[in-house]
Amino acid sequence: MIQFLAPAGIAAAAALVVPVVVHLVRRSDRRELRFAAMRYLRARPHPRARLHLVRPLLLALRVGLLVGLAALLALPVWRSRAAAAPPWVVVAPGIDALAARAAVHAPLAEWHRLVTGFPVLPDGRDAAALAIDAQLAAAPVPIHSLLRQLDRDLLPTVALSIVVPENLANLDAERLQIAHAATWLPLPGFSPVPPSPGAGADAPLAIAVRYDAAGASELPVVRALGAAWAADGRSITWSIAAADVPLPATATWVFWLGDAAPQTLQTLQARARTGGLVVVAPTVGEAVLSGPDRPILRAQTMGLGRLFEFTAPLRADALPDVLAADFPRRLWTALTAPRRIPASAPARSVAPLATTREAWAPAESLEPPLALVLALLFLLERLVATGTGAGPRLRAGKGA
Amino acid sequence: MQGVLIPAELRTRLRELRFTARHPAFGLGWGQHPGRSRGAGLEFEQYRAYEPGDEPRRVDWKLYARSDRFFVREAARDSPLSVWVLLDASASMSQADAARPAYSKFAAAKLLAACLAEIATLQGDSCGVASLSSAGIAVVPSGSGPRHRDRVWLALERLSAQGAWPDSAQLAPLWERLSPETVVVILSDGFDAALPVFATGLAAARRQVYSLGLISCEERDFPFEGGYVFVDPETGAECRSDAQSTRTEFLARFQAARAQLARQFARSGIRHVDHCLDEAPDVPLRQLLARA
Repeated sequence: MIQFLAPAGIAAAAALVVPVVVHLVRRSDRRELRFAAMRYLRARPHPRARLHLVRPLLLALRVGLLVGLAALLALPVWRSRAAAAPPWVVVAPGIDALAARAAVHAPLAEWHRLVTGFPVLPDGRDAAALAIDAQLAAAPVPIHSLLRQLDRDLLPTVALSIVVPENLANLDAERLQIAHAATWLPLPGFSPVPPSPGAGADAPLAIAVRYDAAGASELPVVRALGAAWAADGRSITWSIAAADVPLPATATWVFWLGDAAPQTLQTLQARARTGGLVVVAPTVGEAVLSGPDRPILRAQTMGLGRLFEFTAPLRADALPDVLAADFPRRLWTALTAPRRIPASAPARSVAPLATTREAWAPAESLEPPLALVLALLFLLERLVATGTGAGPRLRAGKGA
Repeated sequence: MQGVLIPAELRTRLRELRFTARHPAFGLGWGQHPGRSRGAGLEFEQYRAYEPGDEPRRVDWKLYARSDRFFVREAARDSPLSVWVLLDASASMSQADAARPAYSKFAAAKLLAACLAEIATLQGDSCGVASLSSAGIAVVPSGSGPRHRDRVWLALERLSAQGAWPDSAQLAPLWERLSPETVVVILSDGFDAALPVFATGLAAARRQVYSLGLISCEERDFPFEGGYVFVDPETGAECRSDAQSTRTEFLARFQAARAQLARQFARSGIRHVDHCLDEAPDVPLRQLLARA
């Protein structure tokens, strides 16, 4: 079936008017011919009552040429209905090959592993292949992206069965939509997760603490935190000074104790944006650390860094949780936890949505053959136009 | 000289052609045609009585022995012939076929005139050429010999067809050049009604007139299709016509006109031959100069 990718190109066929008009206009009636024997001629002009097309063959060739050109502009493609094809079973990493084969009954299907390149899933007869597949099954992959690629590339008639672990990870933010007939088969298991890029436990850390008059009372808690973290084996360089001492450039974390004036807050936010981590005493953001009855620490992502704020001054009377034995460890975890993007979900909740798409096989462009035909037509048109017809048209043979 | 230069093979064929005098010529000098003047020659004409002053060697002494009187033996003197070629140089002669645009009727007429001059020169006769047009009458005076022939050729090369057929006032001086018994060959398309009048006048005045009618193939066949504005080259008159629908009528009228012209010439004893441009140039000459 012929389809046009740019149907507006057909509008170029309006140019057909030109040859038709050219062939309707009787240029021939205005051809002058010096003819000495004119005295034996009588005026007998062409009858003008009805339309008369001059040289219909040439007109047909020209019309054909223009129609072809218009079709060429409309980008013609040839599409046929896709042929039937065996169904596919793709098995996401996190599911063992043999377990998948045991769980899904699909004797005629082609089995593939849902990783880049979609290698064939081994059936257990080849131990080496199984070992390679086990490696593939342990590596994290962008499941949604691979499924979209499969949906685009596979023939439309292929039925898909997608075997996924019940706990999916590495998803992306777009809900998956699949045009193929797809069966979503969650099996018990976990998607492999990439190692979190959090700060290493032994990475040296420079913490700058600045306090004003009000914040000076919080210094003992900060010192206690430092002692607790040092006891845990963290190597930290502390720089504790009053608020008017400038922040050292090397400080990765900044603790600001006391009231933060708007100007100071701006400076701190700018520092956070360039990748630092700033802890300010009170008050906005999402609670990342909570006590038994209320939130303690709120976090706010800011550029490359983060801004934390305690919900209360760091004093035992204002924030009794600081007295808890595990507070330094919990605070450390909260401050160093990697920023999490919600990329994992139960497989049942992210089953792909079905979209519709017509079951066409991939389109083949008709432009090269059409261009060839047009070239031939053009050649023929030139032959006809410039052949015997040039100048006064003479009848073959000796007339009369 | 390219336009008038006679192709070699044509020139060879011209050797077979001869002008013959229909009547004894009255020209001066020696020639190859029966002349009217008496004198020394090979062909016996008559005896006449001796008059004082006759050369003694011209007296027929054998006759004197028989009759005892002096008789002078006279022979008919062979005379030269004078050939005049009259070219119709009116604009209608510039008509050429689309298939061969350089070879107009006038070009054909110039070639034929060159051929006639060549024939005349070959047989030792004198030859003159005049091109007749209302724009002017160009004349190469009569003369003989190869140099004169070349002069004629050169003059032919410079001629062109324009204007209409000259009126009788313009033609009057020509009569003085065309003496009686002159062979006059008129090369024309014969479209102008004044031409046959002029030709029959010449014939009636004892000029030996031949007419060669030149027709282009397009005039003969009318091979056009579609509408045209036909323009008369002489008057500039226009005629809008559709070629297909007018062909039959045109051909009928044209052929009737040619037949009328041929009859008119035949009545006056003028030998007339039509020549189409696609024929070999020596064919009409052969027909024209054939011995009766």
